[in-house]
Amino acid sequence: MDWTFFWQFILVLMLGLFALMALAGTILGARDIRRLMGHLRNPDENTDRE
Amino acid sequence: MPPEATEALQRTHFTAIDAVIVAVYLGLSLLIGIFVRRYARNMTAYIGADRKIGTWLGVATMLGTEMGLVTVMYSAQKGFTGGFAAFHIALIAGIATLIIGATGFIVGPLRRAEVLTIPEYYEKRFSRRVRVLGGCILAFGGILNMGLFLKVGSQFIVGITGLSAEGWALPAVMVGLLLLVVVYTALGGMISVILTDYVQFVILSFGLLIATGLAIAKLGWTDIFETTRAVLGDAGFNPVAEGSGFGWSYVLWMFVTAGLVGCAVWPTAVSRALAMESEKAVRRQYMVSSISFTIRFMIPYFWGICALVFISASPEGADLKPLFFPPEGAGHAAIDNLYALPIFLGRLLPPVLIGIITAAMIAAFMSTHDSYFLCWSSVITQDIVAPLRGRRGLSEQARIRLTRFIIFALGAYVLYWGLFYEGKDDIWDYMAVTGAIYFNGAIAVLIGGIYWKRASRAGALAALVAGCSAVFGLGPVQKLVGLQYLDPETEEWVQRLTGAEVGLLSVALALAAMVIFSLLLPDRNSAAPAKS
Repeated sequence: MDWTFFWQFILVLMLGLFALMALAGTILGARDIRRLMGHLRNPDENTDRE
Repeated sequence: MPPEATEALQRTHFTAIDAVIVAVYLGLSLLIGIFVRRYARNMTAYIGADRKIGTWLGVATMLGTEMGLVTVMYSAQKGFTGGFAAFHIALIAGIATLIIGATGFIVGPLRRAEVLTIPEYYEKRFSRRVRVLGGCILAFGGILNMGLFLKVGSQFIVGITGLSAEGWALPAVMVGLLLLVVVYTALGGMISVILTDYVQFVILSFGLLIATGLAIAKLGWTDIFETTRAVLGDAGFNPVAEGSGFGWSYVLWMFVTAGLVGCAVWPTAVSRALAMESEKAVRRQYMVSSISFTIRFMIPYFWGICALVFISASPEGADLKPLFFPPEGAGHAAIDNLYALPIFLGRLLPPVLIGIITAAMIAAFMSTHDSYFLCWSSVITQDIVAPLRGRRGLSEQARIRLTRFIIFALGAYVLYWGLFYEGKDDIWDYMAVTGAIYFNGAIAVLIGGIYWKRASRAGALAALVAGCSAVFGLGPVQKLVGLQYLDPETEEWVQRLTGAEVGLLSVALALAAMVIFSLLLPDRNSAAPAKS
């Protein structure tokens, strides 16, 4: 087994996926914070989505 | 430390602008804690953010929590000494998290049980006695586990900023960082932890990617691999090759610690699952987080490897080689290889970017500390003190006050341990062993409780006690009981059993204790597993 190629492939793959996740987490995480804060300000209102 | 080492440590690009960037970030974290204090109305809000965390916020907070500065430091140390062979730990962690997310193994039933802590589940499934014992062991193992966080984190700050590694700087950094985290965590509980985790996620994610890109640009993609092969040989790539420092028992132990436990049994990770808005959100959170569970190890390993290449083969790191790898007769010992990463980053990154990366690393430091402080303090309040008070109970406000007090007490302990612990264990191995004191028993109790109808209270208690045998993997304890002996010829300590072997034996012992005692002493009224 070519360990060098294997780890190169895994490293590139994970860096790419992580970059996408960081972008999605930044944008969609901000949306989730708005919802959480909305609930905390008005805990008696039903803010459930599911 | 020799004067050349002190001089080498101080050659960094960190400037006053970078210090301002760090200060602004720290101030922001404190403000968040003060701002959200008003929302911590009851214990569910204080330690579970009212169970209203959405999937992506859950993903962000999971990375914030699980990628601490201590993770970066010990992983870089593993990469520095083990090369790419250490990547197997990252891969195992990612695959295990993906499987947990796809199946909902352990975390799904726990979320459905609507508990706030793991020991609370013990009481629902078994008895109050199991909860209190489980809480005590969890708190003991967990608090011991975070003992070195502060010291290691402060070593990074000292290394990257060029402060003196000796004298007042290290303790001063330790005290300053600790005070800040303790204050904002105690004020806002889980809500401030979640919000600061999000800010930390953003800074940390982009900081990690930018620094990695710069390291590759500086050292060269091919050169990194070729130099690693030249320095470490095949052992720097193959985790089961002779001389890799890993081997089959280690790889197997990583399946337990970095894999199953890291995401599905470790309380700080599970507390995120328990704060999610639904079981579906928990599963999605774990599936996506499998990327961050891989990356939280992989990028620091890679940085450690880059530090090794920088020191071994780069002209700019030539002055560091005799300090980290002193030739025979040099007259001084090698400097602590934990300093390799901060020194490397201090020389790699330009001003402003070094400030942002330092803020990102401090973010990593704080996000782990706040979660750990909150997790252990809430376990002590909810699972030890409150149940022991029986019918007298504790009011919601009294619980929050007590939790806040314990957070401050834990801060004092962490400071003491950081200043005085003398163990020489590899940091990751120290953490794996101390964590195992809790999780070896917890694995058996959770799996038995959720998936085996005949698991009994006696089996749970026996498994928790048997899991404590992991303590025999710690260096000082091994010396005490003869599991390590001093070789008279080499005058070095030799292990009869490695920490990994002790850990695996301890897991097997806990599982066996659960099965044997459950069969011998079954419950009269067997509870239905939470799965149903």
